[in-house]
Amino acid sequence: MVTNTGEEGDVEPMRNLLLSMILGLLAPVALWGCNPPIGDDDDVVADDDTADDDASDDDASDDDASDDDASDDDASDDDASDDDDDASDDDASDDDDDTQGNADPDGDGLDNAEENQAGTDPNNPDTDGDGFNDGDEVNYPSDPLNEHSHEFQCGYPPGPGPQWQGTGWNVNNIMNSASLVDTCGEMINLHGFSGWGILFIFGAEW
Amino acid sequence: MPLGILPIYVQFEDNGGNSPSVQDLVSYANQYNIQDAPVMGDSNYQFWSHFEVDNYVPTVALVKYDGTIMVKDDIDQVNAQLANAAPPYGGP
Repeated sequence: MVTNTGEEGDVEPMRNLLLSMILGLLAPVALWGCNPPIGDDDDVVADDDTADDDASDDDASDDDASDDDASDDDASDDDASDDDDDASDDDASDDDDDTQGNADPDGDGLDNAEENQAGTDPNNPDTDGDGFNDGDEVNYPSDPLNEHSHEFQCGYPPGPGPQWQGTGWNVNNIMNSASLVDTCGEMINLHGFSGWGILFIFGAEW
Repeated sequence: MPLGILPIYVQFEDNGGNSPSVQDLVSYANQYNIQDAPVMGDSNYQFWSHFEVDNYVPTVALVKYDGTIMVKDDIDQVNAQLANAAPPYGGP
């Protein structure tokens, strides 16, 4: 009994050590089969840039003999395996992809060639910051470079944006600005219809 | 580039004499089948003078594409302008 207990006591730590080493070796292999992490392209580019560094780290860490270092290697191996997946899935250079004419890095529906043609920022989905994305504005059409020019929620067309300098409300004046609420509940600046001739029809429901 | 004529319907009050709610505007648009033109509420009476001057009957104002007020409160003049003017007053 004492001997057996002693043998089990000697074997158990060895078994645990072997098990942890085996698991440590299998872990990166298992992760290799996982899908690459979902992230934006910038992350992928950054990972790619560090892939070589990770490889050199692996070499350095291989020289270490302690178990702790081995577990650190596992972590770096994980990074390396993810990097490899990313690199193989996304081609050699994501930077090149982002700048190609048919790429749409900001996801606004305009590719780089169309952004260039419209003068909009290919990395900003809403260049003029009016809450309407560049693709929607170009397709509506409204001016994606003018924050005052955008489609109205109710669907009627905008002008190119406020370009009038109001002088009054008499004949031959330039129409003063005014904001009115529409059937969609949005406040409309009437100068948003610059470029249109406007026929105002004033009335009441009684 | 001139875009043509856009009618804008401006309501001052609902049928109870109150400021028109959004639902009032929607009801008005539905009642007159106004689908592609803005129907707006002027609860601050910014345009009330155009309405008042015609003894509270619906009235009109025509604004050129550069913002110039061509006619106001005179439907006959508006009709004359629209009939005689060259594009962009011929329509969108």
